[in-house]
Amino acid sequence: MPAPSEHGALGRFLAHARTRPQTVAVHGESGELSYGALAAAARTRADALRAAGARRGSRIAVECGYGTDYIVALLASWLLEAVAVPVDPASPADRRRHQVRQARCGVAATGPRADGVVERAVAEVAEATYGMDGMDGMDGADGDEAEPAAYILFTSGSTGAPKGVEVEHPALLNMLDDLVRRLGLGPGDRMLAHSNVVFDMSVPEMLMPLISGGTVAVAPPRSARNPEFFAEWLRAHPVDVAWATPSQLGMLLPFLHGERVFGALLSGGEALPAALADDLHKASGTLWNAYGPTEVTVVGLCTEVLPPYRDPMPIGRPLTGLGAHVLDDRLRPVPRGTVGELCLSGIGVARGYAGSPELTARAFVTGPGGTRVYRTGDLVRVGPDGQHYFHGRRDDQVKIRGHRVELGEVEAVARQASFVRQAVAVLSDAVHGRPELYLAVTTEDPGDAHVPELRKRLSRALPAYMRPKRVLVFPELPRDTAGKTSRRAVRLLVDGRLTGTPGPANPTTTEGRSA
Amino acid sequence: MSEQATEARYAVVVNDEEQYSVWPAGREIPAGWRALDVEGTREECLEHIGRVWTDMRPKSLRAAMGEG
Repeated sequence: MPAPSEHGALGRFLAHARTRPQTVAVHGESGELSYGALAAAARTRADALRAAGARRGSRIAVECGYGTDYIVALLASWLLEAVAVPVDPASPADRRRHQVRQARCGVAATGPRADGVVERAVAEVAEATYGMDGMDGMDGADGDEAEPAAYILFTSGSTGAPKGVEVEHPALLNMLDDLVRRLGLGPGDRMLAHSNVVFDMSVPEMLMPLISGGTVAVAPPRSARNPEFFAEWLRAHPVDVAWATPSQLGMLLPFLHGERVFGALLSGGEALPAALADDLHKASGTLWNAYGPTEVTVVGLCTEVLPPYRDPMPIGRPLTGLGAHVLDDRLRPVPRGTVGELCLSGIGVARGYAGSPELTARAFVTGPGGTRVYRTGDLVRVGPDGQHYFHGRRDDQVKIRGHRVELGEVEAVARQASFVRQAVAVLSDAVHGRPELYLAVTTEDPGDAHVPELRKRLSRALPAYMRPKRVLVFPELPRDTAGKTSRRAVRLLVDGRLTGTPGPANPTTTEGRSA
Repeated sequence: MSEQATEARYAVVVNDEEQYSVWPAGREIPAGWRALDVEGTREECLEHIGRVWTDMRPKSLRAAMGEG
């Protein structure tokens, strides 16, 4: 009997590698790699990982940057029936160590430029675990009762530590199959890969082409920082399918000069504004809007969007194999057409948060009819057209350029500093015209003396996209009638400081308080 | 936390895959789930789950993998 995970995305890839080994699988900066060569590279990497102690059910910290090396390590993990745990080499050392420990990674697959942080953390986990009762004592280790998961991806957690979402192979293949079918991706088609590997959009970007005989078109790494370069590259290398956030697309558009560079374009990660959709439609044959949390395997809802465009844009209907429920606080269905919390059920629902049963039980709950649902925290309404429409969040999770950020996580990191009394993170578009993150604090000593130290701490703990644009010290922060710090009032205070006093913040101002 | 606004009672429930969750006490438990003999506030139930749910792997593969 073949290994069960060979039925998943890996099996599809291997079948293409057997039947047409010459086809180009990955087109990256270092050239083209055929299906046959990619399969051979993955096997070689798997052998090396096995020699390093990896086996069925192991969790492998994959710190290979981006592009071909990463794809090889991902496939190698699955050849071993191990679980891939993507780690971003650019994220702070503390965060990477936390991810290795939380996911209990006993082996690392690192790239040539690794700084040793992940290797050392992995060695500690391996010693602590194997030292006592061998591999069998390890969560996720060899066992007949369950399949090892496909990957564990970390997302922002409101209590100050990122949570590792554990996704299974059937969930992954279901999502990939649905999107491949919808977008009509087939042999020979090119799909753009440009997302950071800790962003879950990177998963379909690399795997949709590989399960359908197509080619992963890896954008040069500097595309992420240079939209003009990215647009030029796209005009020279048009793709059949691409996926990007509205923020990324908004920056790219002016440099495309009206040229059509996408066959099908999927917008995801944050709300798609109608005005942007009008422009995107010119750059692409078809335009799609996708919605989904990492906890439901990247995409939960999806729809093609057709002009004329009007806000709010629909976020779609559930993928095949998934269910969408709009529920009230006590998890009962709300009347159709009214706003409630979107809860998703079905094959795409993740196993949970690795090593965090309490957080898992909080977010993955018993829904209508006894089905297990993931509470997204997103408020939605179902329109007369059967489409879902986004109506905001029920908590303090925000999107910054498509990245999911819990404001509570930023605040929790700030509060770990002994000199910080209160910390409130807010989004403001007052200065830059797009939402940026700001941190308002009160500190032991008045004045900005602690700000450099606080910024250093934030940089050590948080990835770049979660770091506040500015840290603003206030003598006090406004509270609501219940005595809790009011985020809304703090936002007004921050807006006042940002727009009212140009230059460095004046630590003693309180002028915004009456706003 | 807004969830603590009402001190509603909850029960710890577990499904056929041995995945844990909380469910409003007194309400009929949906098919596929059974209640453990643990009731309390939502936070108390979640804390209990944090202690007892030590192996988070589902009992069996949740869905058959098809070649589609």
